[in-house]
Amino acid sequence: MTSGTPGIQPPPPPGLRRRVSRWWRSRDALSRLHRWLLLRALPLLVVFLGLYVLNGALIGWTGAYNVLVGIDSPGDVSPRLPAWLLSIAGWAAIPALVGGAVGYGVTAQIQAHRTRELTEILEELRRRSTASAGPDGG
Amino acid sequence: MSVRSLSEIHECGGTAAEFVQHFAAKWHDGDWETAEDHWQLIVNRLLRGREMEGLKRRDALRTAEQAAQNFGLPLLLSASDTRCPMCAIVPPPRSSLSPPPSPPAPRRPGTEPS
Repeated sequence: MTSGTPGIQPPPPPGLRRRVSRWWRSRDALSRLHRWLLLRALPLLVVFLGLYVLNGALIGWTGAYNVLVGIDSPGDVSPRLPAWLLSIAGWAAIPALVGGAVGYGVTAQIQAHRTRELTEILEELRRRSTASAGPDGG
Repeated sequence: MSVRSLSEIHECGGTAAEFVQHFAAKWHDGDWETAEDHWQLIVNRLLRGREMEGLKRRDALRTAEQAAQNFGLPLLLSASDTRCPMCAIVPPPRSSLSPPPSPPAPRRPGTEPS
């Protein structure tokens, strides 16, 4: 017991539960797009892959691919219900989500143009112009 | 429709011509090639200002050209030692490297081993 500090034990290393909660509560540190990709897109991708594997096991990989991209009708294969879900994922859900995410990224790139005020740019130019013409180290 | 050349600016006469002459003579030692290059670079920087977003292409170009002149002329006419901001930012082209514009700082006497 050293004087001046409360006599408690040093903190124990966090257990599994606290480490998981620490990871979960750090999720908002991610940027908007990365947060969405991790928490929304990744689970949906897992569901989609599960659907594809299920159909591959039931009707074969070529059949599952053909249903996915719309070459074959889900009504022509058996069993029909998982094929219909895969078909809808292929032409509705996946294109919409990919398009939305890419559209967001493109919007961010477009909006990165012309973010500085004119006075800010002029002030930088003025600083460069009036800086002493001696060695400036680049 | 693009940035007007220094000769086109010069044809406007008045302060515009004054700006062009000083820009080339004082900041670029009469090197018109470099002056033209740096003029375009300055206008290009100003075209990236946020205020330009609402303007049409022609108006944005004219606004940036005018802002560049309004920025440069007082500096060019001032008695203090100024230089082209792009000369400070952009490294000089390879061809003009052989005669260095300013010699490196001379070694202080007495510090070199003899």
